[in-house]
Amino acid sequence: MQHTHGDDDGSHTHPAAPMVDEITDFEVLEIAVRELAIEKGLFTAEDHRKFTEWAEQIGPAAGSRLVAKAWTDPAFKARLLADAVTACREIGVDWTEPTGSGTASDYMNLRVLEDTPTLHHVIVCTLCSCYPRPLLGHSPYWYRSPNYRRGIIRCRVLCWRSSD
Amino acid sequence: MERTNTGSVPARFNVGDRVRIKDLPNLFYTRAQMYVRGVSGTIAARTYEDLIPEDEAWNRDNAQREQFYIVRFRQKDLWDEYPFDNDTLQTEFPDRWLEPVSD
Repeated sequence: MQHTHGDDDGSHTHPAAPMVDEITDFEVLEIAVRELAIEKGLFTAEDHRKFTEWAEQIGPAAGSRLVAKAWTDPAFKARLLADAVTACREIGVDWTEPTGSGTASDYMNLRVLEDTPTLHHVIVCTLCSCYPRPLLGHSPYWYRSPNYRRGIIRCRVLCWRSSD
Repeated sequence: MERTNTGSVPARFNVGDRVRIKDLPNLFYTRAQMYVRGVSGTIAARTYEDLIPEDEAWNRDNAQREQFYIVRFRQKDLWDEYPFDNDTLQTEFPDRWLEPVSD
């Protein structure tokens, strides 16, 4: 990139633009707590790496496969409604991952509810933000918001269809 | 999570039983919601045996496990002026939070 100055004598340089903070306070806190926990032997850096890699690769594709299989295989749907955690293994999702006893917040318990033409289910965690992460990945921000959690519990969801 | 009934686990209720949510003291990691305290519902399912949250949160792995249930409430019984008769709410409780009712 070339530029000129009126009194250019070829010897000056521009000062570098200042560095900016690219890390939040929570990220600093996480690093500090993680390093302390590793130092104290609560878990190893290897444990943390495995957990991070698991958390970064979950997404909604598995949930899509689960629903598609339930739609096309009535016997699978029956197994799914009876014991969802076991049925998930049939589409390659193991709720004991990544620790062998699930994640800290998922408790390895899942129940699948079926919507019908006369029954619609709405899911919320009013206490925290429980979500079926092995099937759907991380929850959208609104699912965790106070307004969703306080509002949806006492409001009816209005559904409508276009008339054509 | 184990899913077999060991026989020594508090498990007083069956599907269809009418129960009321007790108003026990909140203990750090109590997960029985305030909006269901004192409200009656129906046992919709027996789910599994597990530690209660108050013990699980503190890693008391040898504490007594309890039967967990899904209880179904009428939304009209939970919220003032809820207008729809047929809407329900289901949520889960361990055995100790429930008492029988005869309504």
